[in-house]
Amino acid sequence: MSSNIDGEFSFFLKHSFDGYADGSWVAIYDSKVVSSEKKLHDVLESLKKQAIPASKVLITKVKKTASYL
Amino acid sequence: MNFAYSCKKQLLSGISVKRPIIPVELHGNNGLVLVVNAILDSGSDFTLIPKELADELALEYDSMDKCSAESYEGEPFTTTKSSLRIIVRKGRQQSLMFDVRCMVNLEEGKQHSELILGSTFFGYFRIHFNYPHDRFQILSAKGQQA
Repeated sequence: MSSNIDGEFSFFLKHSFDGYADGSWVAIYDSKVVSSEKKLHDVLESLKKQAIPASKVLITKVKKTASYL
Repeated sequence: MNFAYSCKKQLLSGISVKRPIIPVELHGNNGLVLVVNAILDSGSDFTLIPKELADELALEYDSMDKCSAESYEGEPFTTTKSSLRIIVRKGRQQSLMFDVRCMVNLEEGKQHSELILGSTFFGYFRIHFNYPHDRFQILSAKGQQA
């Protein structure tokens, strides 16, 4: 994990993700969302098409409902 | 190792909540490396990984060897045993690598579809929560430096 991931994580902490569907997978790279899909596999395929190395991307799941784990 | 994190703040039903989320590096059996956000949950008995993430990482598991699980809300779901290589690191500081026993959530609905770091993860760390200041710290207790 490069130090860039820290930057992507900072973006994640500040960003609301209100505009993305609940339960979707989101890929963050270069402090922006570069892909969001319902299926993780589709996000990874999108990264390939954009020639973005998957290991340089922060992947997160959008969660808009309360958790009682 | 002493990693400090800020909580993820989010509005739920108009109320601000804080979540202890960290990025972790996951190493697949197929060579794939993914950095994925995971939520810390000391109330979960196991580290839980959603099936679609386990499949992308080609984790080994037997989907016929099913284990029953239940959320604290009482909702049942089905899991199976696996293991996962995780590296926690922050910037150029020291990192910690370990193999953790985990459960794969075989149900692909919305329930427990996040990566949840449960008690099998907590055994490697001391974790200090400072929620009044929106912070938490992960301090190594045992393990192996990457």
